[in-house]
Amino acid sequence: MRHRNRFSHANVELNMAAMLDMAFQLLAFFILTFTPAPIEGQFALRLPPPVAQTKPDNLTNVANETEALLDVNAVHLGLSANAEGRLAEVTLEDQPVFMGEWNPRHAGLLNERLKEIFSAPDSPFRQVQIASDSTLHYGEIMKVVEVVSKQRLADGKFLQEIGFVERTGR
Amino acid sequence: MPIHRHSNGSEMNLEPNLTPLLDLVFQLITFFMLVINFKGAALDLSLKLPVLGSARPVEWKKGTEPIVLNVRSDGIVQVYGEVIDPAEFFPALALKAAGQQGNGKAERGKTTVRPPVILRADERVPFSKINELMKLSRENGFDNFALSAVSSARAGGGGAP
Repeated sequence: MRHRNRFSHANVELNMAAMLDMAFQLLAFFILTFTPAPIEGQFALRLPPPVAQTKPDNLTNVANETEALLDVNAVHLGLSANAEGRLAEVTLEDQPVFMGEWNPRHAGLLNERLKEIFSAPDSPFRQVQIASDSTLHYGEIMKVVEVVSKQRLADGKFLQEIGFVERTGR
Repeated sequence: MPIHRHSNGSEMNLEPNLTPLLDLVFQLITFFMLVINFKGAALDLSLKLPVLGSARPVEWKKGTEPIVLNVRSDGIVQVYGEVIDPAEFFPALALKAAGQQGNGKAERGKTTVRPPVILRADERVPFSKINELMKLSRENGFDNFALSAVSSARAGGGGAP
């Protein structure tokens, strides 16, 4: 068997051009299909069963004892819409928190009221039931949801049980 | 290989060295592969989501791929670009989940974890539509629900005027 000369000076070169062509094609594909992901976030909710609010006549009655118990543990928010589908009024247990369009001062006001309720050490409340006008826009509801989901329960966890009820008779 | 021959008889290689260029191109490819967004197909980027500073991406449990519902301002609901009828979609999804449990895909003694539902709605969608979807979701056992928003106005997507 003949041994190859280990010290041969034969110049072995790879043809890079073909590799470069392929790499450029891959690069073109990735550039053309590149769409930066939007910086999106979510508000995670656990949907409790819908329960009747304290008064409104147009909602169903509390169906059974479990629901009645859930209702006792819930804080009730009412959202009213104006003709353009924007927030016109927010009530807490039928008492107005503010009237007029949403602004940072109103957000602070609602936050303080909810904080008073949820931060109490012996607070029995575990969920918020939001009764909203059917015409209120999603963007407006989310402003309220943002404030609600900032609340911490007595055990230190963030509030996640948020229920929604539609008010139609207004 | 292009070779230039000198007048004195010596040879010179004129081929450019492509290796650094190839290195650079591979680095660019690596970058684009890392930032590629495979979940983009589930998102309708034409929706104008509400802008809320405290919206943060939610980490879902492993093995629970969320179902993303896109709701346009005219109330049309889309999943992966296809228009769906929510009244048929949720029961079908619940049946599928129950079927997986029946086929023994779920661990013994454990109930199948229903995937979370992410609602991406245009900011002008009325509450009645949102409530309808939440009701259907809950009635079919999908209790884990998330409402989407963008965390900064700059990233607010295209959006209809």
